[in-house]
Amino acid sequence: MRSLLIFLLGCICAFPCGNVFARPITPSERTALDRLDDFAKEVIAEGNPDAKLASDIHALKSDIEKEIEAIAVGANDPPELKAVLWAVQTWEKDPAKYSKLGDISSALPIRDLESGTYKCNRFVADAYGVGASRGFAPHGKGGAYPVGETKLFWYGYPPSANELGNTVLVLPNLYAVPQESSRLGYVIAFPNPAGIGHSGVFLGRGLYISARNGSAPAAKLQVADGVQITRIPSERAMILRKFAYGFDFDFEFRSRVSSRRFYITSSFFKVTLAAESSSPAVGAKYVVSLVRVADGDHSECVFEVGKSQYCQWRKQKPGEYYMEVYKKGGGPGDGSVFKGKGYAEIL
Amino acid sequence: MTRLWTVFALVVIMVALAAFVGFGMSVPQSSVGGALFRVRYAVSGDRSVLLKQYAELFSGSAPKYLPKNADEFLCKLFKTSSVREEKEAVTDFYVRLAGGREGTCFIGLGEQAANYLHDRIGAYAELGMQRNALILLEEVRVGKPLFKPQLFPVEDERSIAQAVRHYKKWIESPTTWDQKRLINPLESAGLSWQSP
Repeated sequence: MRSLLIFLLGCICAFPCGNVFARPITPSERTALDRLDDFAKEVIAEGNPDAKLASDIHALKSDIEKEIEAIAVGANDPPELKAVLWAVQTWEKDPAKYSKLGDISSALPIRDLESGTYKCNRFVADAYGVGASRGFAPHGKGGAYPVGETKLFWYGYPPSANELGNTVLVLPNLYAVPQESSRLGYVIAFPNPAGIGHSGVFLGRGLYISARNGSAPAAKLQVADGVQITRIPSERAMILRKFAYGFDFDFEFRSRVSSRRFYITSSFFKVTLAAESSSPAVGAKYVVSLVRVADGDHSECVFEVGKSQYCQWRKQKPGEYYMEVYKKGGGPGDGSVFKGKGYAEIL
Repeated sequence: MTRLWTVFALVVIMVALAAFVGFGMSVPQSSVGGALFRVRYAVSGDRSVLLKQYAELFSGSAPKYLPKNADEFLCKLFKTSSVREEKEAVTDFYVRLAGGREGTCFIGLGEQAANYLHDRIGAYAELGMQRNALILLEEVRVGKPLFKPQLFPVEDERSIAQAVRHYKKWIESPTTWDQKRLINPLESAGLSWQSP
């Protein structure tokens, strides 16, 4: 009874005072977020020609606060939010760390970078590997941020900006997503087929954060070489990628449907599916086949319509895979549509 | 006993040499890579071929940039060489690396570098080389590297050809280098260099 009263009191209070069950904003997050206000003020003070920039920076701050407020006490922050908070705190505390002139050496299993090298892709990698605590591993094994294979004494490089910007390339745990489904914290890449591409972390409101050098808004507040918050250039091709250790997918088919391609390391792959049929089909079955792109090697599981089931495979050979979902014994005369949702995880 | 020591010393020297060559080739962006290049340049028969091969080591997605010692060496060579072909080969080398991997030295060479770029740009059949030469020319004009530049609003064959015409006209204009540097060659072309 007492806990019920506390719960009701919490609900009443939550309405006018914000979400009391939300995790609080930490002091270092607050300092970094307040720095965004200074940034917006400086943009106005310097008379930046971009009239909307200051209001977009304020809106960005509010977006991040809302994202934090949406997280219940005790729940984990989603990796995108962790990456953004790490990126903004680095921008506030130590922006020169990712400057072209500086060098980055650490004990982390990712290649160190010398002075004189661009570090935009390393900044993105650190946002997820360090900020979102995913770590680094060749091919993203174990849900880590992907890096190349270790060679002799050298750890692998993270994907370059041009690789991040190449949608044909299937990168482990980094899935290309359409721009319509952009979200705070996604990886943003500007490919440059003729030269060196650029990458950063998407912030929404037409803004992104990245390790870059050159002029940036609020020159008195932002470093000229290092982590900067800038406008997404309007005319450049851009690609967004979501860091995910699995993916949702919807499917609808009459006979057969294929999923997107994805990368599996030498680990378990688990798929959970639930399908409904357009016509009464009690006990109707469908097959999920996991196919390796390189040689067509496949393994199958049979699912029943109307049930949520899962299937798990252990794949020894790392590589690119896709799923095929098709009706079991469904001939040409069977016009019923199977429709459902699924979630694929690389364990 | 002395003979044994001689053999041992020779083996040590051979191993050290192999390590120097192996490391220098696999990590061209290191100062060891730069030093190895200088040695190879000194003994090379066809230096323009060597420069082309050396530039290829810096292509690809790995962050390989021209090491400072090689940058300074090539810059000095450009300034002091009296052989036109050698200067052209050095210019071509920097053009191949332009857009982020070209170091900082050549950009500071001013008018002499700009004139060589102007002369070489017409010799490049490849669009990518023309584009890179334009980037380098702009960097020489402003005296600092551009950050991952692309022509705005569009970078294609037509806009690159248009930009080449404007840069040629700009460099051929009868004004001093100091005056020229203050003029943006693309201003009247409706083009500009944009960074992401």
